[in-house]
Amino acid sequence: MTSAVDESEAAAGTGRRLRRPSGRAIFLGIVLVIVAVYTDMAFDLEWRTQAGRIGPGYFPRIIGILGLVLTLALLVISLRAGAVDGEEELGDEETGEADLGRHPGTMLLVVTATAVLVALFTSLGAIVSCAIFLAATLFLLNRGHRVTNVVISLALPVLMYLLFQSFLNAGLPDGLLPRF
Amino acid sequence: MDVFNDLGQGILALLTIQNILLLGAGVMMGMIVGVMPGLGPSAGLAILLPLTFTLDPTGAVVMLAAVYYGAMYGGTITSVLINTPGESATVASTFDGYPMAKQGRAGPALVMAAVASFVAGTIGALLISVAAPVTAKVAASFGPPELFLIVILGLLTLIVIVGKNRLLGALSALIGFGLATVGIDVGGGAQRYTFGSTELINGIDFIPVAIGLFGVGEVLHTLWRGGHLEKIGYFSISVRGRGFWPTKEDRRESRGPILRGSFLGFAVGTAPGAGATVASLMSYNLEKSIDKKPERFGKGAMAGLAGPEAANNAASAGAMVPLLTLGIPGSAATAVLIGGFLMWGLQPGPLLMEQNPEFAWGLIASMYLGNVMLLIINIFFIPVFASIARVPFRVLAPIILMICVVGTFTVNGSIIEVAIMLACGLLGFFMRRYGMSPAALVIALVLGPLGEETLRQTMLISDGSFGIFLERGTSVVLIAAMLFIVAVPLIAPRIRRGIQRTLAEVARRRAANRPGTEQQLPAPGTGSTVAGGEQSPVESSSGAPSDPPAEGQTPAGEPLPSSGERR
Repeated sequence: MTSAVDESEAAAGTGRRLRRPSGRAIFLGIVLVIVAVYTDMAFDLEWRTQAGRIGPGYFPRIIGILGLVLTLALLVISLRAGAVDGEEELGDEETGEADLGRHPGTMLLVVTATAVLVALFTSLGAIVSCAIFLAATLFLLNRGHRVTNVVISLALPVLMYLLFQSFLNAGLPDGLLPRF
Repeated sequence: MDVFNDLGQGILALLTIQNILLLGAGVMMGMIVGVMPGLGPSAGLAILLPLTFTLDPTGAVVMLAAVYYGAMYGGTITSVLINTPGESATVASTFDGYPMAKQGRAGPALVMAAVASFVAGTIGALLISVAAPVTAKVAASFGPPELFLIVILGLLTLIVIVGKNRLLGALSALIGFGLATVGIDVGGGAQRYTFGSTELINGIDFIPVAIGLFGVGEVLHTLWRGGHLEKIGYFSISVRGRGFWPTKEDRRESRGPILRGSFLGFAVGTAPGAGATVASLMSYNLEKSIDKKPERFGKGAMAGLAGPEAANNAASAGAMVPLLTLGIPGSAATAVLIGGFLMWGLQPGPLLMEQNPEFAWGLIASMYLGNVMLLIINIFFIPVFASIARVPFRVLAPIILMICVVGTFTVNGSIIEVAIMLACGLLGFFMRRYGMSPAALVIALVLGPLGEETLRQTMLISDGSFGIFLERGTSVVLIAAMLFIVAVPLIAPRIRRGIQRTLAEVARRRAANRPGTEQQLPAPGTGSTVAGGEQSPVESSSGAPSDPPAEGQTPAGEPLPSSGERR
């Protein structure tokens, strides 16, 4: 953010206007940091081996440098006045209708529920953890359909377990319940 | 004729009860995933890949091919019934498919789409049989420099032709290459970016990444834009209902577009990176341009549905040529497919057809049989799949997420990979949100090791000099092709204007044979409107030729109704 402000001030002197960082600019800023760390680590790897052959750092350095150049260019473009943000460029089909709005809160709750499912998957077992996950998310998204939600939450994990574990022998965690 | 013998033997070898059941199951499951909102063939293949782990390689390949075709067709059902393409390749099917459904002709639309897919798939399988061995022979002469350039060329095509923002597409591919460098360096055995974790020594598996980017990413994006609040409306459909089957007129009208779409689609599909979306839109434009009554397009013309459907399916078959002979996936779905093959120890490339002919021909044969199965299942189960399209997203979203988690876990029994999958889901959401290309990332991830290895070998041969790329004839041709691809955005408007002028001239001549219609058609070269004042898909509002309708737009340039607008 600070760098964006600095760039804004610096650019003001040259007559080119920058704008407040958009969502895309912030995202690209994060990508830039990750690519910079990647590139820095690439320079810790050998460019060439002692035998004169290509080292493990050869390809990563090329990727890292190209990535830095591209990300910086995109960041500068996205900070320019009048630059489109992701939403505007993608259009209505991609971003949804205005009357449905944006739902970052709901999405965040679902992501959290999925993260909890991942965390408890091995300890509670596939059936129990999936049943809890389905119940939580269905009661969040599909309100007013209690019976449907309960039936889906109980039946689907069992069906899933039967398919993957009993039929395909895929090795799902049992957790609290005995294997069947 | 050897090729047809090989194909015939491949088909006969696959005709076992188990394989036929797997074909049927694959097509069914592919279609089920394909009709789910937001899940295309790539997500379907990625999610269903774990189901094939307990099968023998032949059975797994048969099932994967069936899932691929099933998922491709699944998107057509939602395009026709609820005006929501499952993925970009079926956008063109909404232009006339949905108006047909509104006129009460959803049955004929879906049946003809299935027939078009079948015919195109069959022609595609036959064309693969001819094109793949020839391409493999040419590719067998390729050395590491050429293979490296092919990798770059494939990605470049994807970024330039399909991507909306080319710089973001290139960055997506670089991130994919970067992820591919995690793990043991194949040259010297050094660990890279493993942070001391034993789980990362073997690198980042592409399956969690693909499931995360395509499956979870799509679900999160749809939730973010309020997909869980949508109220789905639909057109009911019954095999027993009156007017379910296409009329004689429908069949007659579809014949030409299906054949043209099949050959056009196959040709476009063989170009790495171009893919089914470009093929279907090109077919739509072609049919509209040469049709005697172009004013019907966008209002329920059978030709406007059959042509793109055929092109879409033929392009999926065409994409198999670079995949089998060069090891280059032309689309996200084929990238997932190639990942599945690699898991079975099958390395697609120039030597595949020589060293592993039973696999190569088995795959081609399974695609043919998959088409037959698709036709049978499609026609009799269309109402069943249509009912799946009616399940609201608020119920589907948790189920898809659960399948993603369980499916990823079953790959290696690793909870770390499930966490990577979830992280990639978030990445996929932001990539979609800000215009990056998850497809380019996954393809680069799959091709990264091949790219690095061939670059390493090239540098060994040339003693570290990049001049080698200019010393070999084939390399120079490939570099020229890359320069051409880069120049496409600059020269495309001129080429398109020329093609449009030619097609308009053809249409005018054909229409001139019909009394009383000439005055409705545009003069060649002006081409900005067609009869009825509707804007041509290949023309911008300014009247200057522009790109085909962008993903999510109608031929008239209007945004397609999103899932939230389904009524």
